[in-house]
Formats: sequence, structure tokens, C-alpha cells
Amino acid sequence: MNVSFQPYPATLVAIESLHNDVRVFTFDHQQAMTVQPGQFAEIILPGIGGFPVSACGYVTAGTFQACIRRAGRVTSALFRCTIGDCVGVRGPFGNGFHLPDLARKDVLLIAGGLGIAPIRALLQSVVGGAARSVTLFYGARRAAELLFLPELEALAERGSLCLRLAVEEPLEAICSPQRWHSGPVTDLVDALPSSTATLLVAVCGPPQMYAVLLEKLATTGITAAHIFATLERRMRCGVGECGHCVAGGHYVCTEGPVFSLAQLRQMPGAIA
Amino acid sequence: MRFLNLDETTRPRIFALLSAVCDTLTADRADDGTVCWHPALSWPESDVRLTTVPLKTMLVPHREIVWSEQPSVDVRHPRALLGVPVCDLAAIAQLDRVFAADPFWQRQRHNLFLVGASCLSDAECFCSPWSGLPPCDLFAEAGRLWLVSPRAEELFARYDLPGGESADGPVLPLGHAVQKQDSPFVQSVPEADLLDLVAARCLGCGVCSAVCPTCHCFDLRDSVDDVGDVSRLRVWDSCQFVGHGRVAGGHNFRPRQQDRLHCRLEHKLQGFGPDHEEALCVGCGRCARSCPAGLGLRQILASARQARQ
Ligand SMILES: Cc1cc2nc3c(=O)[nH]c(=O)nc-3n(C[C@H](O)[C@H](O)[C@H](O)COP(=O)(O)OP(=O)(O)OC[C@H]3O[C@@H](n4cnc5c(N)ncnc54)[C@H](O)[C@@H]3O)c2cc1C
Ligand code: SF4
Ligand code: SF4
Ligand code: FES
Repeated sequence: MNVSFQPYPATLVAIESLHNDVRVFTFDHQQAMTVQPGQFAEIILPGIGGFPVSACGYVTAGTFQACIRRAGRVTSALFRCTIGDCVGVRGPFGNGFHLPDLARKDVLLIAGGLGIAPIRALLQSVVGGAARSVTLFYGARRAAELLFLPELEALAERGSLCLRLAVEEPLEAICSPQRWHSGPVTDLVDALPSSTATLLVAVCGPPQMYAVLLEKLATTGITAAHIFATLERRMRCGVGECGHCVAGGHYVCTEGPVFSLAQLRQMPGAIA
Repeated sequence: MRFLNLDETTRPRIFALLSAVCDTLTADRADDGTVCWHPALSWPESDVRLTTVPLKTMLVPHREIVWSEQPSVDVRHPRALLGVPVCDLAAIAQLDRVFAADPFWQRQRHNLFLVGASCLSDAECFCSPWSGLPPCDLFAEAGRLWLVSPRAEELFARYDLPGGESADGPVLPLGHAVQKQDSPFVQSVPEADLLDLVAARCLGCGVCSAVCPTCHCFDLRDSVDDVGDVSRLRVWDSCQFVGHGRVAGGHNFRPRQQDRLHCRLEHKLQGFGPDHEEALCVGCGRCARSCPAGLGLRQILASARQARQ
């Protein structure tokens, strides 16, 4: 584990705006480190502050890509940066997703809101792999807030991904009812096939989503050890020293942020 | 384990040998009533005194630069602390685990020569059931100075000081008449709701974490000085502060004071991490002595017990 507080220098090499307050930033850090799906790094603007952020995908060795919402002081400062600016990066931190052997398994990914960021990284790593099928349930309040839609739809057109989208606004007639649903993303779980023994599930979304969703998944018969969720907490150090990220007696930064439902059940208070 | 005799004739020599290699400090009461580490002029005669602020301040200072554009040179002298009570030694052992990979902790730790000593209890403290002597360099007890660490052995090997050897090692304080049901070490964390009444009295001031020898929360702050040099500092924080669990967008994972008290009790009674194997409380009683609302760890547990009944 890297407990040095010394950041790697990194250059901002690409910025893509996805929505008003959400952009994809690509940083070139030239280090031999890769932030795996579900892991995170700290982006530091020297003299201003730092914040933890998940990898949202893989570009090339020596780069880190993150999908970031302008949420407060430091993220706002990042939004004022332009290509060529220098920042600091620390990491990688956390365990990342470790799905068991995917052969003859069906992978179900569920994302709510900005939770799509780490789920997209995981999706990139499982699509075209050993899994029998890959499904994504993705929800947002409004259709305009769904991120990465063109690339997700392209994957679906090619048959690599079964895509279901949920928005909490009335749908217009043009939407295809097989793909679109009006209501919370948790509703989509009701339509799961009756045989769920082969399913591996990974979930990322806002805290309120977990309370309903995870146990609902378990009632469909998926074993709790095959349901994975990534927890968000306030994080400062990323290395199990600063105490901020603790949930249910565990350090989310080092033992997580990905936990199975079986683990979460042993962590009182971890899911609200 | 080897020991040196500690008596009128050997004390000045031992003290002189230690003072030759490091600054020697001893705990003493200042005019304002607080007990702090002061330069020692001789081997301390008095009983061990528990410092008001625990030893962790010497290892993770309240504010510490962990990164800066202008690398600074660390010129800290080695220091020997004479008369560290067993609870504080045990606390350092706990934090050694937390900061095992931390270069700042390791550097300061290496510079600290710990001379433990048996102590007398007071009304607020409650020694934990120690499972052995926590790591230290020397341990003073009943006329003997035990050479506990290899570097202590090495330091005194060159000198011909009277002493001996015993397989048993030092006798630790046995704890004292804490009623069993009153001992925090046999209790589990009360549910957050039982902490309601206690939480209503808590001011959320965080003094309990500041004085607890095993609390180690910190925040990272970035700063720019007058000439534009940038640095990152770690600054003590407390799980009793309302913003400790708050994230961007306003969601707070520990919104109520009882949630925050629960967090503190969980750390003290079970520890965080994969194992939950050990209480981090070492029974020093500082929280009880310092809390403006009278909410020491034992008092909180007693109130929660009453609420349950
Ligand atoms: C494991 C993990 C992965 C994340 N992944 C993403 C992502 O992919 N995209 C994204 O936009 N956001 C992500 N976040 C949330 C992101 O860290 C916060 O939005 C960010 O910290 C806000 O910083 P700020 O300074 O702008 O906000 P402020 O509200 O000004 O926060 C001040 C400081 O508090 C801390 N803090 C505040 N909110 C959070 C939070 N939610 N989590 C951790 N620390 C916080 C940070 O250190 C921050 O710098 C992730 C958080 C975690 C813990
Ligand atoms: S328990 Fe006491 S010392 Fe701790 S925050 Fe509450 S009032 Fe302050
Ligand atoms: S909880 Fe109180 S008694 Fe226990 S170690 Fe901390 S300050 Fe000392
Ligand atoms: S983020 Fe500091 S302990 Fe987890």
C-alpha cells in the first residue's frame, strides 16, 4: 500500500463535457499504476485540496480517466482547469470489483446516477469476456442526465450488452418500451428471470438506492455473496489512517469500497 | 529478560548515559494544572504521572506537513521519555499498527526512546486486562530497570552496571477494583438509540478524541504560504464533529450525535478493520477527566445500561 502523501504529477490531456455539471477528465500520470474498476484515486489540486474519484474506464497505460461531477470546492476548481494543466494523483486505493469466475455466468450491472462511472469501467472489462451475457440497468432522474448513452446504445446494438434504462419522468412515444422504463431503476429488478442462480451482480448508486435494492435482489434468489456494491463515504487519506470512511466498523477505503451483500449484512449501519 | 538495578547509586549513571544520547523528558505538573513532558534534570523520583495530552502528540502532531513543494529537513532530536504508564505504551502499540506503513510516524517513532513504568491508579482510570508488556525500550519497576528492546540492551551493554536476569520480566499493574459489570472491556457497543439520552448531554466538542491516546482521525488541508509555496498538512479531526461523515451534496452518514457517539464507542470497544479483535481503549481515563459533560467511556456505557432497563 502506498502511504506516501507525495502525489504523482499528472497532466490533464482531455476534457469531455457530458452534461452541465459532469465531465470526463483524462489525466496522463506516466506511472506504472492502473486504477482497476471499482478502485479509486485521489485527484489533488495543489494548494486547494483533493478528492477521491473512481476510474470510469481504461484508456492507455499511464493514464487515469474519471467522470466527475462539480459538487463542491475542489471539483469546482478542477472544472476551471484546461488541457495541459498539472494536477497531482495519489493511488490506486481500495479493493476494486473482484467478480468470481465469469464462465457460464450472467453479469448484471446496476447503476444509479453518477454510479455509472465505476460501472462503466467494470462493463469495459467484462464485455466480450468469458461471461455468457452482460446486462446493464441504468437509471437517472431525467433522460438528459443519462451519461455515456451513445456508447452504451452502440454496445447494445452490436448485441454485446442488454441495456435497460429507467428515468423518473414520463416517457415520450419515441422511446422503445423494451429498453426504457419510467420509474426508479429498482423497478427493473422485478423483471429478472426466475432462474437467478447464474447471476453475478454489481451495483453503484446513491446511498438511498442501496437500502431498497440490495435486499430486493436477494429475494429473487441471488446469493448474497454474488451481489456486490460499492460504498461512498467521506474519504481523506485512502489508506486506513484518517478514520473518515468508517462504515459498520470497517474501513471502506482499504477493505472496500466494494463489498458483497453477505459482508454488508455483517456491517450494521453501512447501508441506510 | 535482563535488568539493571535501579537505586540511589545507579540512577545518576543511567540518567547520564541516556542524556548523552538523547533529550530526556519527564512528566510534570505545570502551573496551570496540566501535566506535560518537561526536560528532566535527573531520574524522576516521583510516581508516574499521566500527561493531560497523550503521547500521540509527539508522533502525529496536531498539525504536520505531509507534503510540500519545498522539501524540509527534519532536525528532531532523539528523545527519551522517562516514566510512560503502561496504558500509554499500549496505546502506542495500537497506533503502531494503524501507522505501520506511514513514513512520518515511523520516523518520529524511531526517534522516541520509551521508558515505561508501573503506576498507581486514580478514580477515573481502569487498566485493561493487559496480555503482556507492550513494546517499549526500558521498563522501571520495583528497583529494577528492565532492558526490553534490543536497542536498550545495546546501549547499556558497553557499561558495567549492576543487574541480573529473570525469565519473568516486570510485573504489570493488575488493574484495580473496577466492578466487572462496569468494565468497558466486557461490554458491547449499545445500539445508537440507547445513546439518545447521553447524546443529548454531549456538546460534540471533540475533546474526548483529542485526549484519547488511541484516537487518530485527521483531516488533510492544503495551504499556500506567504511566498506561494504549497503544502499539505494533516490536522487532527474528531468523529464527534458533525461534518466528519458528511459528503458533497450534503448527505451525512452520521447525522445525529448518537450516531457519532456510536462511532467512537465502536472504535474504543472493538476497533475498526477486518478483525475487530481488540478494544482500542486502554483505560487511561482521560476522556472522563476532560469531558465538560462528564461523559467518560464508562459513564456513557453506564447511562446506556440504565436506558436499557
Ligand atoms: C470511492 C469514491 C469514489 C468516488 N467516485 C466519484 C466519481 O467517479 N465521480 C464523482 O464525481 N465523484 C466521485 N466521488 C465523490 C467525490 O469524491 C466528491 O464529489 C468530492 O469529494 C467532492 O469534493 P469537493 O471538494 O468538490 O466538495 P466539498 O463538498 O467542497 O468537499 C470538501 C472535501 O470533503 C471530502 N468529500 C466531500 N464529499 C465527499 C464524497 N462524496 N466522498 C468522499 N469525500 C468527500 C473531500 O475530501 C472534499 O475535497 C467518489 C467518492 C468516493 C468516496
Ligand atoms: S463526549 Fe464529552 S468530550 Fe466528547 S464530544 Fe461529547 S461533550 Fe465533548
Ligand atoms: S476511551 Fe477514554 S479511557 Fe479509553 S483510552 Fe480513550 S481516553 Fe482513555
Ligand atoms: S479514507 Fe482515511 S481511513 Fe479511509
